[in-house]
Amino acid sequence: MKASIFITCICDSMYPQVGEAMVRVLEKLGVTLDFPPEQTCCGQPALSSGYWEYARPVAETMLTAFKNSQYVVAPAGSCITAVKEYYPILFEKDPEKYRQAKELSAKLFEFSEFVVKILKKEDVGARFPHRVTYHSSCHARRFLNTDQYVRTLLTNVKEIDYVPLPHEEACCGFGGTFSVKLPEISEAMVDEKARNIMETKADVLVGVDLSCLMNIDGRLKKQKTNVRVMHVAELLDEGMRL
Amino acid sequence: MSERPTLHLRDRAVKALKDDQMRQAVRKAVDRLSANKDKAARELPNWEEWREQTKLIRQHTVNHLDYYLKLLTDNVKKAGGKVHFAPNAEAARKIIADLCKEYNAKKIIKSKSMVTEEIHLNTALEAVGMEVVESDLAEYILQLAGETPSHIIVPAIHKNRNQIAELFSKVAGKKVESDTPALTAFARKILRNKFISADVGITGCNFAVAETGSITLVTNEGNARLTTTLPRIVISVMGMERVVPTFEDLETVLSMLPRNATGQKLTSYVSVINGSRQPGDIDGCEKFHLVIVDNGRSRMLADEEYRQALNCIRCGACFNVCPVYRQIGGHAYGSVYGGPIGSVITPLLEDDIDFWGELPYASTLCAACTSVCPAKIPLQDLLFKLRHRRVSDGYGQVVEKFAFNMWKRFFKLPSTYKFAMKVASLGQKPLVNNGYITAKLPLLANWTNSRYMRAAADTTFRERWEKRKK
Amino acid sequence: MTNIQEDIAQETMFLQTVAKALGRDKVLTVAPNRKEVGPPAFWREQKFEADQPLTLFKANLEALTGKVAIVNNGVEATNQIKLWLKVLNAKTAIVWDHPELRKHIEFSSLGVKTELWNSDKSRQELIEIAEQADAGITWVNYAIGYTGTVALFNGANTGRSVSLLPPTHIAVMHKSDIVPTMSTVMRHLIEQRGQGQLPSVVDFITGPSRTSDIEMDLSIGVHGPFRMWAVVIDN
Repeated sequence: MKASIFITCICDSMYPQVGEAMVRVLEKLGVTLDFPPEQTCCGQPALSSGYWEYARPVAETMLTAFKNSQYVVAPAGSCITAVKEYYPILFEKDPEKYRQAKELSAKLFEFSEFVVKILKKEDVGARFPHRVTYHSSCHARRFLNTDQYVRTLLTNVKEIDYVPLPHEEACCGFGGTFSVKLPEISEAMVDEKARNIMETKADVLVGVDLSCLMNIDGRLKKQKTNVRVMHVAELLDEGMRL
Repeated sequence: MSERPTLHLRDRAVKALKDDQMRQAVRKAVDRLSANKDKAARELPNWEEWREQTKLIRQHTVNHLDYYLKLLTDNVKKAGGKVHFAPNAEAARKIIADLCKEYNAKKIIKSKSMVTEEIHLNTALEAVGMEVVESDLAEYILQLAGETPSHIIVPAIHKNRNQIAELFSKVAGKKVESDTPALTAFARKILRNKFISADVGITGCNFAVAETGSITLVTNEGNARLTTTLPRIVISVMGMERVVPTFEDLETVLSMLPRNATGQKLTSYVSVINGSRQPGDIDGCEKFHLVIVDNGRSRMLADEEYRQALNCIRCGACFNVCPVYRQIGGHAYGSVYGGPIGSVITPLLEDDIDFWGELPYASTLCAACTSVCPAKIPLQDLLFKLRHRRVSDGYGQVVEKFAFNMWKRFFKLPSTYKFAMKVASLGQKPLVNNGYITAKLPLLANWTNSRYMRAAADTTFRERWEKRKK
Repeated sequence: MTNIQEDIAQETMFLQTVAKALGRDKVLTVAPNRKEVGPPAFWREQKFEADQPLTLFKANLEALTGKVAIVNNGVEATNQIKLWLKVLNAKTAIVWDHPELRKHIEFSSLGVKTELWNSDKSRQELIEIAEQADAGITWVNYAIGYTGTVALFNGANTGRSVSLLPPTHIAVMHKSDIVPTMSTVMRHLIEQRGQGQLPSVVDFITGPSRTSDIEMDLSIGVHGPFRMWAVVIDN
């Protein structure tokens, strides 16, 4: 099976190791991957701030980059949501781009969704003997409805000590530019998230969306805590090599 | 038109975030209300079907609002009531004040109504010498405190029992104990007398039924019943969209409102009032007036997107799941209607995308609101669109506009994107400490004040991928 | 312009604005077609066992601090109410002058002073009596099992104050008038409306008056009755 990587700008620049982990997992599961170099960013920062005119040319890079891909896989629910939920609005008045956006939406998958739904792998043969809690990201949970796939994958990891996160469904307070436009509210939100994580006494916080993880990790690190923040691809990758 | 707060959203939020007592109370309340709602949703079979049906009924009604308002008007008249039409808040205030004067009213008792908050009715009536008393316990507390509601279902959640006891003690002229039964009993006694002596009762309207000209009032305390039973004159004020076609539709919305608001199967009291008293009736009002208020709603109606916000049944469920409301409470919104629905309707009702256009940004677009709305209003989509409207109407911030313009220039091509990433990676070097930027630098402070900033990696994934291929 | 003309002009202008917002030149006067009316289809079609409405009604009302007594006839109903009034140490009760209530309940045997709600007394007198009464007794047109609700049809001799002003409200009903859901009541109201017989107020009452306005702490009896008790006559 062939698939293209949509790395997302955050993963590309700040978390390349998550991209590499995703690649290792998918290749072990028999996927042939390529990386269309025309991709940059989904355009979400400008899009959700109201600057649609600036977002449009950036969003267009996505439409051309993945034109010839059969499947597209990304390590971020949020960027996928931008394509699926907001591109149709962004390109409402351009039928050709609208069609392309719909076409891309149909073949675009969040990493765990791709593994379970397309590769039909519920157990990737990972072992992870740590106490793990899971932050259920807003976009994956409420827009993409892919939350279930992460849970499936985590459930099948051997020796995992999974502990549910109180208010797991609550937004971490990132919200893109929200976090810098209304930083005090954002802080209060991520602070509550961090407190809930500490309450679980987990060693690892896992998630599917790098922007949320970046936000939560930044808070946990500032508070000098030892919780390790991981993308689910990293956890599986590590678990498959143990 | 309406009262604008002096502070901007961010400053209002900062102020609210310092109020630990309020924040604790809000968290407790919304957790309780949400848990109750979830339980009610599990108990009522086929919850999603109910939501869909509610949406369809509301949508149909709003899309034919001219027809249903005319039908309602005709049927209220048939039932002996009089209908008044207020295009804006000022007209509504005048209609109601004139009616009170016409009846020589001195004392007015009110039951909870958001639309009368919206039109700032109390101050207008007090200005012409009337005594206006709120009878909903929470509203009464807020009236004594000189405050506004901070939640549409539980308006005084930000107040604790000691503050309430203090307010009541002032009225009593002696100490009122702060336990709930003592406080409730005190309010019952004071307000019972107010009900009996009131000349006019003023209510809101949860739902009007077009087919019969009925006004439906939903309460737990029974204050709306007292307000419509004892005074000889009753004036009900309704936002023009608060109508359903038939009694059968009423059952649907009544099945959803309490369950979504408080998790109750039904509130203690639902009164379906079919006009003024009938021949032979002994209690109830002699004259019934219905005031239908537009106040910006027709403007929302004219836009097919924003029209959806008129489907709201005012249950407050979106407040209870909103992570932003949870932190800042209702007053920080600065508007009569707070929470996610308030952030949508306030800029539209006020027709002010400049000042009130800040509210749609009081959201992370996490969609928790949309996921619970019983009328399935796509709240986060509307917030998203309002942000664009604000920017395209020219009210975006200059700095922000500049930043996004730069961002666009670099991110629209892979070559310049790669260049920007390289510059970021190299430029940050002096600041990076163990993979994070921790300094509170001017441009980054909004982030680094509360979090470490993840630094860009030395090499991007893209670079690693290209290297790997070789 | 006369007042009436002015009123009509305002109405026309207002409705015209609404029509215009909806993209219409004139106010729609023909009933629009609709597909979805009332509760979801499954709700209207569901079937209940014969005893289910009563079982549900009792469980739901009791969960709201209510009491439900099931009796076999009017004599037992009278005794039950008498017992309750005694427990409450009641001295007076205000009672609907309702034919069914009169038929089943022997007012003179209740052990308290009873006052009838009818035009023998003035509005002010009756409200004062209801205000002072220890209990109000009403006859229920419909009770709803699914929510533990009684529906009272208020009118001339069935005043609203009786179920509202006294600290205790006792509602009496036939078992056969307990229906599973609100749908039956709504259908009945639609029929009554067709015959021009809609009561001036229909009150759906579900348990006692309550509030959680103080720190989300549940408190019973803020403006209306503290107690909402029901007597079901199994005929």
